[in-house]
Amino acid sequence: MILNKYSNYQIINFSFLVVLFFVVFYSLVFGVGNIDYPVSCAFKNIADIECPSCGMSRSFTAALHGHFKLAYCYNNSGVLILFFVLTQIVARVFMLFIESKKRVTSLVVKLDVTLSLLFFTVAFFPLVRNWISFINRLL
Amino acid sequence: MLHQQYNTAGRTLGILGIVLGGIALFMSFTCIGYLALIPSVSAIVLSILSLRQAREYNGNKNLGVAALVISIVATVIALIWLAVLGSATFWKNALEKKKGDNFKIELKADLNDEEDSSDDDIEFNEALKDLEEELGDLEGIVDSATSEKIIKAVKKAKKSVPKRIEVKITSESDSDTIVIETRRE
Repeated sequence: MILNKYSNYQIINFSFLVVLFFVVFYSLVFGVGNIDYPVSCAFKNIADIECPSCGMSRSFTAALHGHFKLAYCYNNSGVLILFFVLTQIVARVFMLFIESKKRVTSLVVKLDVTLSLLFFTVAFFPLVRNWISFINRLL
Repeated sequence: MLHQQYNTAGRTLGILGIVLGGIALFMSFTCIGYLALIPSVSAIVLSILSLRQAREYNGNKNLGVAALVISIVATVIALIWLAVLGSATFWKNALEKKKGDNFKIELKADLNDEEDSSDDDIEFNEALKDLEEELGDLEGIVDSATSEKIIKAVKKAKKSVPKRIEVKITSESDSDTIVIETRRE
């Protein structure tokens, strides 16, 4: 099988890279200020209230076009999450390169996983905090 | 030092589990977080199968365990999302009731009656009209948080309008009504 030529780490890195590229591509396809995204918020459709995740796509699009203030207005946690996505793209490409040179040790993998999880927590923390206060406000 | 030798049993399923779990985890934080249940449950199934294969054929269980942890976290978040979505209609009704129980914004303005026709007052009268229109838009029933925002906005606007205009804000606690009154001094 063709997958046997590659290590687990390479396959996982490549798969995540594809997903992350898709996120950036999805955000870049639309223009700044566009409201016709194919995915709409179900909560907003039902309750007519914006959920804390609303505006994330618009925020990504605005930030990728360099409008950071606008991106912050659309969703205050969008810029940090996009930064996480972009750094992960760089990290995955870098790790794929290192792995192709057969220089990845178990320590490097553990370091990569730990740092990625740590940054993930930091990047998504404002959104989680918004969600908690949103639910508290509704209750 | 002795190293235990593993074969590739459970490897493919473990990798699939990790990737699907990662996608589900990311999805669970978006507006379609409830849909993350599909990849996250699939990832749980795949990781369990991976662990079973690894146990039976002496494979490495690390991938399966990592996939299981990620997919369980994603499933929990997606389930919270589903619960929030399920109660959306209830919350909508509750919020509307809450709004009605709070404040009513009323506007009292008699600016047009006292309009001055002199040239010096044209700009002044236009400012009065603009303010009246703005305040007219505020009329209605709002919740307490919005009423506070409105009061702040009116106070801010008061600073920018000519000094001869007085904007009076009174909050009648008995009737829960905020009256915004504008008049020329």
